[in-house]
Amino acid sequence: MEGKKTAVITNNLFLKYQLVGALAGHVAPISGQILFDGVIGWPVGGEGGLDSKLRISHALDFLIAVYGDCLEKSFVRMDLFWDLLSRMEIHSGLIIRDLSLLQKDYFFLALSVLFSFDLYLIPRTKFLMSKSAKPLRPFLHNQLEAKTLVSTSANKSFQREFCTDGLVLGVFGELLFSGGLDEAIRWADQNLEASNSADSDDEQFGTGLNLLNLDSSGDGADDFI
Amino acid sequence: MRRQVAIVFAISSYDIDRRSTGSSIGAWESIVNPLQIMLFFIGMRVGFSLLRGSSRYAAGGSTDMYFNIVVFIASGFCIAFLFRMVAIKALSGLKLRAPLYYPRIKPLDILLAMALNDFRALATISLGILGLVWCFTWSFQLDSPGLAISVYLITVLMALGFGICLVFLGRLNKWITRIVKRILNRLIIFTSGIFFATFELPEYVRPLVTWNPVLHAVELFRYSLNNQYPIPDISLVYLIWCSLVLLGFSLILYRTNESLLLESNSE
Repeated sequence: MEGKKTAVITNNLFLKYQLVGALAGHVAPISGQILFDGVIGWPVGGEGGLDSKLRISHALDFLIAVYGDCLEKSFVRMDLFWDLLSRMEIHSGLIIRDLSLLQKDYFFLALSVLFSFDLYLIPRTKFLMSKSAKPLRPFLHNQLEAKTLVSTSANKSFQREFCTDGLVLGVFGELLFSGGLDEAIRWADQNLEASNSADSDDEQFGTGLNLLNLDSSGDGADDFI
Repeated sequence: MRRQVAIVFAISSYDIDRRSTGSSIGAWESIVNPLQIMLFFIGMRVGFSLLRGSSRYAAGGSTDMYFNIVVFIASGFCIAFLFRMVAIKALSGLKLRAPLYYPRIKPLDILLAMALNDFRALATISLGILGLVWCFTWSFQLDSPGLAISVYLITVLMALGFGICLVFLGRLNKWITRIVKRILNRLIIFTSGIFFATFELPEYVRPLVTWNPVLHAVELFRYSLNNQYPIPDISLVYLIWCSLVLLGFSLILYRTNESLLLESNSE
């Protein structure tokens, strides 16, 4: 799978979540193990890891500290990144919770584009394929050069623009078809049962894990006697 | 290794930053909360001394022969509360969970970062208070700086080990968690020597408190400030053993049960 840009096609929504969750390290695979030589990024556009109380600059400092080596390899320079953000009037001092929905989507997608990973995971593409994300798409294309992509999105225009291979999985995760993207789509159209989720891939990405920060004010001054 | 250290520091800043934007006092919040408790304790101890009036051992009791009362309480507090803060937080589960979204971050990194923040806050408060007292009384004394640093670091390791064990204990049942939390609070307050010195206790009472390794840390820390301070039944070896056993056991526990910490605590 390394070096390929694969669209995973399946009717099982849970399987999609679990696949991306297991690759991202959020859940352990039910069986087997994931072997990949390189850095696996967080799901592209995912906003799960940053607390809404953080400022933009805090969030960026945090991710640079954690993924600094991926920034060194990146095609996107910091000045360009800030320039991209300023187009949506996003500045370093803003707090994430104060951003509009559109600004949030843009900021989290821009963060994913900023770093260069060896494996990109793309579970959702509604915003990525929208008009607002158009300035970011060329940079994602650049970052994806010679890199691996796994997408569970059912968005056909995304698949045709970003993916080269297709992998059709059955309801229980069994491999039904593997090959070029066009053949895989054709095979899936003919053999998979029609699903309600086929073209609407904008469900909130979830792995069943609660990764929200909890308020820890109760740990401090109270109850010490 | 270098990256993992950078990650721990990054999570530590992440937690301070997210608290600072939600608080009117900004990043000072992490210091103000423990400072309030510490000042309350100092006020309580000084108040009792005033109530007791003049005795042959002066206002602070017999401990006043060796220490200023504020230094005495502050030195006990900075060790015992470091242990308490790390342990109680761990018992409440992994509350900072969002960073786990990033594949490079593991639950242990978050526990280490939380302990680092507590360590920073208490070390800052303690150094500030000791510095102020030394400044006002013009009597600087730190007889064994090496021992002071060693005891502080050993306490951090012991707190970390104990905290990791409690993270897993806290997942069992919320009632067990509450009971353990209350017991821990009382044990730490009343047997860690924040308010008393071991040499003040009658010999037959000492075994009731000297089982507590935090007491050994507190008393050794005071001894490192003033080598004249008597520390009967207090042992550095006991403290080191307790730290190593707790840390070793906790790391084995963590290694075999890491995936449990990825699941949310139901409480």
